[in-house]
Amino acid sequence: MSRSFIARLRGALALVTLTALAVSPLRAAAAGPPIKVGAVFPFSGPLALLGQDSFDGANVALEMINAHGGVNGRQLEWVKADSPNAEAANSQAERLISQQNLKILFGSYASPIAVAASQVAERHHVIYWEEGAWTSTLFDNHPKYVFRVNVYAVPAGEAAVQFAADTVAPKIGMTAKTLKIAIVNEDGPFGTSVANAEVAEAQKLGIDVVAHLPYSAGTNDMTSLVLKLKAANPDVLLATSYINDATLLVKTMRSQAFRPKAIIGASAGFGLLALGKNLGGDVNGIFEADAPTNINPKGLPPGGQALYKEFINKFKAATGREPDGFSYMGFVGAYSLFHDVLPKAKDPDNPDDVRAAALAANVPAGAYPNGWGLKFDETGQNTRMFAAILQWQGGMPVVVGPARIAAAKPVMIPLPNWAYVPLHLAARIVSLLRL
Amino acid sequence: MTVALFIQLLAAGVLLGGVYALISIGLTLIFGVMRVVNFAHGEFLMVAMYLSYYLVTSLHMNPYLALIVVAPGLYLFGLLVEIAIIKPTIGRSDVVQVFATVGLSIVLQAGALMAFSANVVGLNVPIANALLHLGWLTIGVPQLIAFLAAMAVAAGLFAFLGRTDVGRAIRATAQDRGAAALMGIDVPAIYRLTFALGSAMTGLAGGLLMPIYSVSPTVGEQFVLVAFVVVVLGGMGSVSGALIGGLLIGVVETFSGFVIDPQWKQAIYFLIFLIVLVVRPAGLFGVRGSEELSR
Repeated sequence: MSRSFIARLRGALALVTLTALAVSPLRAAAAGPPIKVGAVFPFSGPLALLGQDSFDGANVALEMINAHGGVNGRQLEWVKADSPNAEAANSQAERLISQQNLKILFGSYASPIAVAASQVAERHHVIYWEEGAWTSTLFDNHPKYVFRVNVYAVPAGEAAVQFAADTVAPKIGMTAKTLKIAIVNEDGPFGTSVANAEVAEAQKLGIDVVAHLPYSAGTNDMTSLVLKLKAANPDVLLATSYINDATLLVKTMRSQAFRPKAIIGASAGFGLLALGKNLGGDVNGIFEADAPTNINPKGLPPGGQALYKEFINKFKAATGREPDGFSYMGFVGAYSLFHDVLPKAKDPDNPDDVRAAALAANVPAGAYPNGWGLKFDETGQNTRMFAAILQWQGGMPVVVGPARIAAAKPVMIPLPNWAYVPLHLAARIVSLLRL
Repeated sequence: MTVALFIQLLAAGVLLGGVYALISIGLTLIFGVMRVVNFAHGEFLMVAMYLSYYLVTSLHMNPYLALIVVAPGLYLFGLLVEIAIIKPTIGRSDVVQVFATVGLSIVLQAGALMAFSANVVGLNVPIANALLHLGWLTIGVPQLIAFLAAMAVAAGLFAFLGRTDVGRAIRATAQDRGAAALMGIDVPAIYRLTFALGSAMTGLAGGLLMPIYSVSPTVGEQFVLVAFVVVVLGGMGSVSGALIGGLLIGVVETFSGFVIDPQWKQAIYFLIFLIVLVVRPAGLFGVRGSEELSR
C-alpha cells in the first residue's frame, strides 16, 4: 500500500471526524456522561407488538430532548431490557440496577411487568417510572420511588360509568336513577380492577347494576353469558375484555339478538384496530374508555398544540406510521420525566433528588399532546391524567369526550338494531355456498 | 328457565361440543394408534388457522373452499413432522416424546410470533356472520357447518378404520405393534400415515374454526386443554368417545355458564372430568388398560 494512499485515507478520516463534530455540536458540548435510563418493555413475546409501540413513543421523547441539548447538557441514553413477562422483568430490573448501576427504570406498557419491575426498583431505592400499565395494584405496598404518569383502571372505569350517566342516559330519555347497566369483565387483574371501579362508581351515582358477570378470557363460547345478559335486560352494557373475547362477545350478542342501547368497553380489546377488522360494520357505535388518542388539538393550549405537532411528525418520520394510544402514553411518560422532572432534579443520578423533583412537578393539564399534565399525588400517581371516551365511527375509534378535546360528537345512541341480511333460507344457503 | 331458552342453550352447547369434538378427533387418533401424546396439537390447529386465514384474505377463497388446501397442507406438514421429530422418539421413553412435542409447540409458537406478530386477526366474510333463524332459535352458520363436519369426519374415520384394509392395518397396529409387524404390516408406514391423517383432521378443524374464532400465535392454548379433556374423558384412542366427550363438555359448559355462573363453567366441566376419571379411569369409551396395550 503506497504511502500517499495512507495519507489520503488519514485525511479523509480527519474530514469525516470533523464533519461529525460539526453536525453534532450539542453532543460535543455535553456536560458530563450520559444519563442512562433502563427501558423495561416486552420487546419480544406475545406482548411485543404494543410494548414496542409504547417504547417507540417514548423514544421520540428521548431523541427530542437530546436534540435540544439533553438534560442540563447531558445526553440521555436507553439501556434496553427485553422483559416479555413478569419473571423476565424481575431479573432484567435486577440486572439493570445491580450490574449496570442504573438509577432510573422506565416501562412498561403491561401490568404484570410493571408490578414486578417496580418492586425490584423500590427494593433498591431506584426510580421506577411507569407510562402505560393499567393495574390498580401498582401502589399497594406504598412504594416511595414508583411513579405512574398514565390513566389506569379506576379512572377509566369511573369515566365509563359517568359517560353512561351523563351522555347516554339523557339521549335515551333516562336519568342515572332510572338507568340499568350490566357489567361484564374478563376475570384477570385487568378486567377485575376496571369492573370493580365501575361497580363502585355506579353505586355512588345511584345507578342500578342489574348484572355483574366476570368470565375467563380464554372462553370459547359466550352464548350462556349473553343469554344471561339478555334476561337481565340492561340499557347499557359495560365490558372489559381482551381482543378475542371482545370479538366473541359482540358476535354472540349479534347472533342472540341482544342489543343494549349502548356498549361501553374499556381499552384493551375494545380499543384495538383488530376489533374493527374482526367485526366489520358491527363495530360502529361501540364506545370505550381509554387513554386519549388523536384528540382535537384545538382543545390544547398553544404550547400543547406545538408539542402535539412535533410529536406526530417525529413519530411518523421515525416509524412510518401514525401514533396510537400506546405511543402517546409512551411519549408522555418519557417526556414528563425527561423534560419536566430530570432537569429540575439537583442530581439526576440521585433517586431521592429525582423523587423530590417529581413530587414538586406541576405541569398544567393540556401541556402534553394527549391533553394530560403532571402533578403527582402522595402515592406517586399522576392526577392530571384522564380517560377519554372514544367511539368506533366508520371503523376507527375517535375521541368523543371529554368535550374540550373531542374530535367528533357521540352518535348512534341508542344503537340501531343489528343489521341482519334478510334472505330466505334457500337463498341464504345458496349464497353461502357460492364459492 | 323457559323451553325456548332451554332449547337455545342446548343448541349452543351441542354446536360448541361439535367444535370440541372436531379438534379432539385428530388428537385421539394419533394417541390411540401411536401412543404419542402430541403436545403441539394446539399449534397444529394454529398453523391450520393461519393457512386458512391467508388463503381467504390474500387469494379471496371461500373459507370452506380453502379446506381443500388446508387439510392436505396439514397432512403434508404432519408427514414432515412425523419423519423429522416423532419417528426418532418412537420406542423411547415417554419423557423423550413429551419433550419432543412440547419443544415443537414452543418452536411453532415462537415461529408464528416472528412470522405473523402477536396481532390477533379474524375473518370478516359474510359467511362468518351468517345466522339461521328457526323460529326463536338462532344458530350460527359456521358453528352448524363445524358441527356437521365433526359428525361427518367421525363417521368417515369410523368407516375407514372398520371397512378398509389400511384401516384394519391401523387398528391392528394400535392393538399390538409387534404382532402387526409379524403379520407383514409396515408399522413405520402406518405411523406416518396415522400422524399425517390426524394432522389433516386438525387442519380441517382449524379451517372450520377460522370463520368462528380469531387467530394469534397463542390461539392453540385456548383449545388444547379442552381437547385433552375431551380425549381423556371419551377414552384415549376412541373416536366415538371424542365425539360424545366433546358434545358432553359443550353442553355442560353452556348450561353451567347460564345456570351457575360464566366464571365457573370451566371449573364445572373439570369437576365432571375428575368424577368420570375416578369412576372410569379409562374414560367413558376407553378400554381399561388400553394405555398399556402396546409398548
